[in-house]
Amino acid sequence: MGRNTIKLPTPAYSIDVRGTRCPLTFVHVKVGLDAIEVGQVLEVFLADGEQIQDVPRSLKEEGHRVLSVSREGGRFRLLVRKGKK
Amino acid sequence: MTSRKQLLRRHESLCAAGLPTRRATIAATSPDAGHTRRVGRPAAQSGTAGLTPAELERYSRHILLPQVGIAGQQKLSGSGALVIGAGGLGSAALAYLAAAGVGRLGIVDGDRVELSNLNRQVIHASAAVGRPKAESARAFVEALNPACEVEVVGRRLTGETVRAAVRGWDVVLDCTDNFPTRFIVSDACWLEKVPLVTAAVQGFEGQLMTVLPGGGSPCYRCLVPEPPADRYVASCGEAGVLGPAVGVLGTLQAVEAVKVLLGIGYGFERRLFVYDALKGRLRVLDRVADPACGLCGSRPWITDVVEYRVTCCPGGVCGPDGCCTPVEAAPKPKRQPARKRGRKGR
Repeated sequence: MGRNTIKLPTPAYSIDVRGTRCPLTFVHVKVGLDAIEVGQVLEVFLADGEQIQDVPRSLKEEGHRVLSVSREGGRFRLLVRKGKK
Repeated sequence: MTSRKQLLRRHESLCAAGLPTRRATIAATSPDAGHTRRVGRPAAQSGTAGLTPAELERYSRHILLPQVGIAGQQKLSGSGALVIGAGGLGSAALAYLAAAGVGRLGIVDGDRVELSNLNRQVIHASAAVGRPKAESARAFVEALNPACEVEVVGRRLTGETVRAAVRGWDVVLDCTDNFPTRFIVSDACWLEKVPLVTAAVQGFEGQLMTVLPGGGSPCYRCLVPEPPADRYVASCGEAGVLGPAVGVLGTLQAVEAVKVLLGIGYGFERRLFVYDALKGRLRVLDRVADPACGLCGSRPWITDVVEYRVTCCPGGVCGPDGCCTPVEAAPKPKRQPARKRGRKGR
């Protein structure tokens, strides 16, 4: 997706899951999602490799909407809108 | 019908799916996952959704299931399950319920651990022979999951005590080995409106069902209206039971109890699960409510727990204190005794 000029929504909550290993990484993402309401946006900072490969896919599988993924230096910034269930 | 090929493919994909998970388990997890930085409107919850980092890790494989998640795991922590009988069925059920993080576990058993129990009652160690079963079970549960609050009743339930014993629990697991207790537990759970997961094993065969009072579920008596006549109940010579087969049924009780607690999936509230370990056969039969059932029918005559004394072996009679107590007059049956063959063994 990379940089874009469209104004992205302000996240309601932010987590940094770098340093965790699969599958605990996604448990922490779920904790982040649990902290916001359906329709709100969560910001997740991810590491390169396994995390950036797996987390967006898992989020989509669980019915959430990945709004953007952008590289910020050595890390990735993901914005996801919480879906229903 | 699922073909053998499809099943094999499914099995392969399951095996493949297991690999990365297994690898990840070995890797140490870093504690510095940050939930600190907040952008915009701060969220109300603390960073770990009310679960400690250790709990997040302990229950991670549950939390990852979309049908359980954080909310489901918290629901389990806030739930209570009463396990009646800490024998073979109860061993498997208690171990899995404790491991699953069910917050409150009740253990009822009036027996002591015997050497002959150990082929199937896997939570009791050899060193526990002679100890009260309920206490031995408590030690196992507390060692497995210290967060689990344990309540112990070291006596066999009676018609007088059973209703108070089941009251207030979110689910009851009947893991007993005799008809008198099965019937008082079933009656009490129905009258107190507590969900019941009941199972039994004899020889190589086991059965399981769930009863949800008020949920349109047929009750235990719809299937087994009265304790079977003595000649149908297993004799001492038929007391053999395959240890791991008991574990299958006890584990399945834990599965169904967890589903009841979480309110997920499709249970056995209108079905009967039958397992024949020797023939390698699983069957699921539909159960229907009996309109003439004394407990749940249109004109029920059982309004309180009915206690039976049933002969369990030639010359002996099962009572609250075990075998060989004097026969007392059983309540007059209002209908024919059950045609079904006896179910015994745990």
